[in-house]
Amino acid sequence: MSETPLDVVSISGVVKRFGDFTAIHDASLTVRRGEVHAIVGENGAGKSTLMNILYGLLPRDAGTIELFGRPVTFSGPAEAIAAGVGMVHQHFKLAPSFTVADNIILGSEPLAGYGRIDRARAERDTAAISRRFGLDLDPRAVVGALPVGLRQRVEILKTLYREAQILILDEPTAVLTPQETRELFATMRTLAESGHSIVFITHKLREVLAVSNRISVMRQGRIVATLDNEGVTAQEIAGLMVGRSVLLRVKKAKAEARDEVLLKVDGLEARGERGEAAVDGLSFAVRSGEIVGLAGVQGNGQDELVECIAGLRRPVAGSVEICGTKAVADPRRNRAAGLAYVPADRGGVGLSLASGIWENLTVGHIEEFGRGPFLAIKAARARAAELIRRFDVRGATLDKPAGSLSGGNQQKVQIARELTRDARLVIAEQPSQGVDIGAIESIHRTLVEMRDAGRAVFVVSADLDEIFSLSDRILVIYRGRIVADLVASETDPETVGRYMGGLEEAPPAAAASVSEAADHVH
Amino acid sequence: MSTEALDAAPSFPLAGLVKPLVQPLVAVAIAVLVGGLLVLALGENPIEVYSILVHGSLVGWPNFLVTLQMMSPLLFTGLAVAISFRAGLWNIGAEGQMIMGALAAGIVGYAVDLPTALHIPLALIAAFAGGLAWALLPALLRVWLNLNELVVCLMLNPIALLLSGYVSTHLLKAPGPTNKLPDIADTAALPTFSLYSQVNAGFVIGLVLCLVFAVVNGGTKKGFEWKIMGLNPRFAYYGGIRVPLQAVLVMMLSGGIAGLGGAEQVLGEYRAFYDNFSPGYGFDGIAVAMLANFHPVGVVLAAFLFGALNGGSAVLQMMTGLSKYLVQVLQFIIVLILAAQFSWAFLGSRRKAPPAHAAPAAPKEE
Amino acid sequence: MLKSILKLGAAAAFAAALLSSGAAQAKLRVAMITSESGLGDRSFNDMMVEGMKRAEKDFDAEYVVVQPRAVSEFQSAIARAAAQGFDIIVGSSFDMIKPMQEVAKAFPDQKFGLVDVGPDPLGPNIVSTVTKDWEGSFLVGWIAAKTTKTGKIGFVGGKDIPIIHRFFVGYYYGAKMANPATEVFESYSGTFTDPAAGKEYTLALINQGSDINFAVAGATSAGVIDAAKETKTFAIGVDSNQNYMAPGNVLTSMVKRVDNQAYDMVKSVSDGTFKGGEVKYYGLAEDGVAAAMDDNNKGLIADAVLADVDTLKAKILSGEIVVPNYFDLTPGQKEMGTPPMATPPSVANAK
Repeated sequence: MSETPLDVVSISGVVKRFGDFTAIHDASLTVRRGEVHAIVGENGAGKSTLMNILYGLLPRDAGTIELFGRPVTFSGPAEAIAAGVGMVHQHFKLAPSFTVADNIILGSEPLAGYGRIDRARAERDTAAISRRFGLDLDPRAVVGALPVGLRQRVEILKTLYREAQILILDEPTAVLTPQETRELFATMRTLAESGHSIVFITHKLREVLAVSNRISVMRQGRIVATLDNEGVTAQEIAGLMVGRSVLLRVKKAKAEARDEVLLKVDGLEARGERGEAAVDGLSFAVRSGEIVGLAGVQGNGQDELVECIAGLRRPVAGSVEICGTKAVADPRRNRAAGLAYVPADRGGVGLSLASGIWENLTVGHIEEFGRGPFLAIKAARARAAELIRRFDVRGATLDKPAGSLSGGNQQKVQIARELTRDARLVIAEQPSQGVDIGAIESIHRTLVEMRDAGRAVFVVSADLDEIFSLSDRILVIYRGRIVADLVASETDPETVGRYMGGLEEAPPAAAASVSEAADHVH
Repeated sequence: MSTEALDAAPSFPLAGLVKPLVQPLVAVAIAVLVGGLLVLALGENPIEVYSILVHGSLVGWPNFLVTLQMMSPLLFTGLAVAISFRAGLWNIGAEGQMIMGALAAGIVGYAVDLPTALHIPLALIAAFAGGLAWALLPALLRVWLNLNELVVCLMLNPIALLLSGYVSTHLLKAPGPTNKLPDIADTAALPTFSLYSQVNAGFVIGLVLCLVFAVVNGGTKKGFEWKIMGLNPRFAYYGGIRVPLQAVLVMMLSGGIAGLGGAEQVLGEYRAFYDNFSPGYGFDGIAVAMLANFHPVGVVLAAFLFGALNGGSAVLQMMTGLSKYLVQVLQFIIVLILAAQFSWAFLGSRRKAPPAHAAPAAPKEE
Repeated sequence: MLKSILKLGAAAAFAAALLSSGAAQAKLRVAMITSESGLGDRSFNDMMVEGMKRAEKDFDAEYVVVQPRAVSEFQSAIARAAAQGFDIIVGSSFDMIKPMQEVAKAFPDQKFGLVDVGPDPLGPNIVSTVTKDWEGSFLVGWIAAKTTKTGKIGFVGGKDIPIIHRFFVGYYYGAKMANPATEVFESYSGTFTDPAAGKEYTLALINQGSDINFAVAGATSAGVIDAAKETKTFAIGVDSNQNYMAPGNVLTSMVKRVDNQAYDMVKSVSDGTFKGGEVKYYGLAEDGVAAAMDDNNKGLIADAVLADVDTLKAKILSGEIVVPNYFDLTPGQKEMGTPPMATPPSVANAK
């Protein structure tokens, strides 16, 4: 160990092609011992692909990878793990019904005699390792019952248990509250100080600046720069990412909320997939001319709430009114009442990935192109072509399946379709999830335009930057209830974060005032 | 760049016409190749065998008309399967629906006394209703209870066979050694044209239906909605398409068309409902629909291919020592290849987009 | 008009095909059209092919087998065979009567044969056969009465209809001739397609003491045989050799020797004795029916009993024995056959 060279990972000239598409062009990168190395870039820039190559998930087409000075070629993650590389994916790969200790040892179980798993030792080892890195975890806790932040710790511990020297974290903060994010950063620092090397994939520039030693910026499959984190600004990095400087906050005039309530949710209760009370009696209103952001950690009832409004889920109690019409569990009727909805689940709900782009743009507008029983396909295609141009959907042709587009361009297709509907209520769920910075800007601008045109815009997002960038008013959801109703210009991310984490709950009496506040905003 | 690409793509590119033909043609080509090797192994000359097969199915009116006869039921069952599969409804119950349609046509055909101008339409309507009814049950169970229509359809096939068997061997059996209903009245008979072939007016009905549905699929609102529904029902529902209603409608149409196929058999070919009359036309329809890529015009082509194989089979049996199994093997190979491609694509699409399918409500990280 | 044009086209097409295949030998060419169940049915179709194989050897003939998949394909198969010009086209099954007659009218010079159908002549260029199943039933009834240990035997018919009564009357007559004291139970399951019902009815007969039961019930027969297997009694199969279905428990099967019937048809063409419109009856004396003997029922029937079968044949040929045909009986008739014997109660008591 003492002879470990400074560069523990050295990637040089790596090329990766998928068919005739080159995902990685001649990428070279070094990771030093004891550093946090951030890799930033837009979606589709090749960050995950490059790391998947390092982790042995993808073969490379050219180039070399050296680990601790020795050239390596992994044919699978097992070999990478054995060589000391660990990776924590964006989607956790844990068995929810197992305990923390079970999950950590899964795949490299310590054995007692006769092939039995030595559970006591597993728990001891888990406790020891979590103490050593300051990652507080109960080895006997069932993973499914843990909050997201702790589950991520399990993933990290899992790699440390396998003695990983190099940890790759793929978008680790996407699912965390600001508090959890801070704790994660502390952990990362601790690990780095103990000699581990951390590769940190993200597109959140604030975080990059907060935690990393060095920053590599990727754009279109190339590493365009590797910078020391000294005196670099978010603006500079963003410029490198997109090749031009961008506005990180959309410029907008002060909201002119009118009295007309376009979305009214009253005492809504709904059950989640497992029958739990996912939405637990919440009330709020969104008016014409304002953008209301719903902040909250994933899984606190946002999905169920939005599905109830859209008509995709039947509420247990309470009511929803869209533009004065009572909403029902039928998307067709709710859309007719004036709803435009940009769902987060693009592949499952918002698009048919296997269908052509023109078809995706035409659903929801079928009646506009109806000529009796027939469909004016030429007109529909012409309009689709026009939308593709207007919303700058890149790489699109009319007949290409929507699934062939990048996430950001898929999002543009959804937005083009929904926002060109004659609908006065716009619900945008995670509008910039998986979307690159250039596109986020234009999406946000479109939403603000909607507001200025007198529509009511309701934004659901796990990304506080986005919530603050867009919202006039911020609602915070925690365990199926609205725990805060704040004026965006009068609060800050820390406050909202505390509400998101359930650390600060409005006193019981305030619950009523929250819903009242909805009626008295501004 | 995107603008150029858009403009460069005509609304119906030539590639769009050629591409869907590649996959079925490859399947057929492989089948012909494997079949040829098989023939060689059996000690016959493959080229001679195939030329007899082509000759026996296409050359000369009698052969050609037999081919048309053989393809007639497949036009109906193939179309029935194609429109349901295209809409994402796995109606593999065309066999049962055809049997029920045939039974209804058979009963109306003999038990009712009407002039031809009314009798044939009434028998056709009865057949449509019979098939429709048999498809309605799985459709409603799907919509109300979310029962898999594939399983329900599969279970309803033998029930149709047994039920019609009960009617034709007990309840309404015609006197005589054969298990059948009494012969239909001449007023209900669909005219045939030749001694050599039972091809009848039902063929024309099937052909017209396929063309009608080519237009429905390609140019109407319903056809558009069904396609979207087939590729992503959640998206279709979200987008305001009345998915449950359309699902029932498609199943009813599909069943009705299969039922009309039964009428073609009973009113045109058999002239009476015979117990166990179908050698599996409903199942062949699945193969035809798959070979057709679920396109109605493709159904006509695929049914023609299968009809020609079966039509040429009899001549092959007369001219060589080969049995009917050679032709069946060819069909099975085609089906096998298509099924492999199909499940490959199906699994592939699932693998590519796990969040979309696996976690319908919460696709986000967790 | 249209038909004749089509026929012309077909003839031309086939003539061309014929020439190219170079099959212009002097061999007798036979086409056998199977019923829709096709080859491998372990029944008529397979049996007829056996007849064809023998005819091929004995008459320097060659045959092809055409297997339509459905009844609706019979006519096209027969018509195309006729257009190709075989020396004889042989088929079976009642469902083939109409298609064959249609084609025979259009091809008056083509010879046709249809085995095991009804007594009506089918046309000037079609020979047909009737199987005297009552004589076969007589034979197995005789064997059953000689073999039973309980003195009681049973009959399970598919349906209570005349064509099935014909089997029962022959069976009854044979049993009574072998041993007048034999009790013969008569029952009808009401279905030709339900093995479970066949089993129920058979078990009921066995409960009454019957230890041999004759199944004349189509697919229902499988249940009769199953019951025999379960209770270690005997069943008797019908139509084709069903001994294999439960070796050791199927005493024998009353088989219709359609192979012999088909063989004779080829023979008649070969030796010039083909007589269109003829209906030939195939009974015990003509080897048109038989009690199937094979490895599966070896030793189940005493040799002495088997030895007497030839005597019975001779007596039938000489007219000393005339097995009654149910269709010749009148309801309420008291005696039947030669030598006369009391009719079964179901006939004697019928109005």
